[in-house]
Amino acid sequence: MKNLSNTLRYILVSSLLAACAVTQAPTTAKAASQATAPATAKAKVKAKAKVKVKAKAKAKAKAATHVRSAIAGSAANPFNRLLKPQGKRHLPPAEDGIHDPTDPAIHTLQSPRQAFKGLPPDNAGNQVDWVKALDEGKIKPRYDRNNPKAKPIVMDLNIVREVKGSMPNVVYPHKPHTQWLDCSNCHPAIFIPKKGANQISMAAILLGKKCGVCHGKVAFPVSECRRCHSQNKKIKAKKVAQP
Amino acid sequence: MSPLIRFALLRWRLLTGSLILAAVLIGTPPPAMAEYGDIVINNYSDAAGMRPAVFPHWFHRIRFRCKVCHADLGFKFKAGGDHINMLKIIDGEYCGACHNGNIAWSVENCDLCHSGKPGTPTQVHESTLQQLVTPPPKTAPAKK
Amino acid sequence: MRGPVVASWISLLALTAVNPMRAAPSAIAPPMIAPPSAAEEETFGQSPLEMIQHKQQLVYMLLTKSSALKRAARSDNVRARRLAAEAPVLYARAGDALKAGNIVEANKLLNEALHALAAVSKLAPNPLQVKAAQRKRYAELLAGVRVFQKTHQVICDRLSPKNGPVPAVTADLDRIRGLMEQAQKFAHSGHYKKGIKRLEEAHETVVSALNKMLASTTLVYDLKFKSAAEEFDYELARYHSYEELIPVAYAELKPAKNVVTLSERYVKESRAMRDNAQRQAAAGNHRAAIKTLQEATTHLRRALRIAGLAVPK
Repeated sequence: MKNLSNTLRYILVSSLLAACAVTQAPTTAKAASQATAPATAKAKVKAKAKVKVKAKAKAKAKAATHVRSAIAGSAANPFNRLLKPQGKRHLPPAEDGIHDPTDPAIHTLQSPRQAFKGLPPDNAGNQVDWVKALDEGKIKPRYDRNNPKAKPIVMDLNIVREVKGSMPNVVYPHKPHTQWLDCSNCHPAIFIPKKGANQISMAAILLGKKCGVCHGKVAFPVSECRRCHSQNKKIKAKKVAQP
Repeated sequence: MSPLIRFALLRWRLLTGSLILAAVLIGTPPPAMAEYGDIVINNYSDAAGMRPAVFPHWFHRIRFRCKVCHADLGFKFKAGGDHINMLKIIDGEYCGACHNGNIAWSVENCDLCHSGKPGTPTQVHESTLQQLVTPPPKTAPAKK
Repeated sequence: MRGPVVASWISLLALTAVNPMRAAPSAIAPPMIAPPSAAEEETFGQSPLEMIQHKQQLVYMLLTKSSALKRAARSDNVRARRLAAEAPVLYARAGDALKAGNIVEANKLLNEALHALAAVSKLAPNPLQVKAAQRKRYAELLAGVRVFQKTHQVICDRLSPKNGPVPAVTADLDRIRGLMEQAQKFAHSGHYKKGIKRLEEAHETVVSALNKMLASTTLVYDLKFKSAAEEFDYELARYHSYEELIPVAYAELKPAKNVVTLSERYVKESRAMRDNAQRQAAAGNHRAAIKTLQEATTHLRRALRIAGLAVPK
């Protein structure tokens, strides 16, 4: 009976340690050599010794947590799968999980981190504010494949779509879109340029239709509601209940 | 308790402890952290024994506006939707319109495009849809 | 006694500290290090030899399948004929170099063969393919210009003064119409290139006309309806837009079979409600019809949610 409870304690502590180790920052290979040293076990295991060891292990685990939170000052909550910790953004191709690190040319490919230096930051998608980067002249993408001097046909027209319910109305600005896209990219294939002719819902956007053809794939994702739902509704003031 | 039994017990406990650790560590593969908007195109690559092609949107939008590829060159707004193959590229269509040695490097650099992990399905990396779909449950790791 | 126990704990801790799957290379990691791959990961083309073999296969495929070579061999262009003759020779020489073990030379020759093939394709394009591309472009442009023409008309009518449209606007409209007629004439006679040019001009004209009228303005697409019938039409369109999403959701989210069955049940119920609403509208009771239709749309949204599409509220 005593041995059973000891065993259970043992299993509990070792799984706690495992959990701490899994969420720890990656460590160097030096520790690897230590790990291979065989665990020579002799002895007399006294209950007193076990308790002391357990206390030591718990203290180590606590220390590990402190270290982890110190390192993770810049890392976001790892349980939020939509938000990457800072250290894991814009990884070079050899480490990013999509490219094959054994590809002979992998180190010829540029790292996004390098390319994004100096570009205005954002908090969604590529973490780069592309429209701002274009406006500030930080990037100079061509409008024509062969002609670097071709100028875009920019349309400065805002469309305000009234939204059902209490969400603020959507303001769609043509200007930043026409700086990048051609009219034919959207009209008439995705949007008919006529009032009331397009039914757009969040469900459609999330499924990659309408605005979701680009937003959520290449342009910034729809995690930031206010970027589109930016025009507050005019609600008639009600009489405030008197206290 | 005799030293021999104690020794045997300790060995057993160490074994179970390391098994627990192994199960936890092996069962958690690192997630892919590629750049948002990377397109993996694997329509024909796996069958041909080549790595799938990875198209980085970020690299290209620094140099070209959306219109150039999606209006002038005819690329669809769909990963794998154009069914691009090497014949079309050599003919100067799609990627071959620029990757011909004039505007960008030419077709002989196979590994610069075909750089994805073999078996990766055609996808828009980190798209909303990809994040909406719950990944299928992983099978339990094999016990040693 | 205590020593070996502590030692075993320390070594256990050390084991936890290193997870071979997580060993992310540091900033000064040596190149070409392959992480321990999972069992299912295959590594293709890892060695230079395999890469050359793939390239060789590619050149062979292009030599046999590309129609450009045959066209170039028959063409008037001297350079095209020369390159078309060179490409297979280069390929053969590359094969010999490879057999002799000279990978660098083989790679160089194969690259030259690829360049030759690309040049041949450029010099001897497929006339059918060119025609098909032109037709497609023409159709796209025509659709685009027509749509913008309509939009232009609508906006003109809305913004124009009581006594008719402004002369400048009329001139624009006439010009666009003229260009479109010319384009269609060219297209009918098979001169797609000229037709496309006219349409591009028309497109530019209509877009700049719209720009002139709408520059720095805001159009508000509000949900105010002139009558209950109009609102009913809007709700019906909204219902259809959700209905279209159902198969898309099933295809993309790939829910389990029992989930699909449950979701389909909601879809069926919603269709019954929609039919009910249409009957009510036909009877003239638009208010009730709108309510029923809104319920039907809510059912569709439930069906989507069941299928896995969680729309933020």
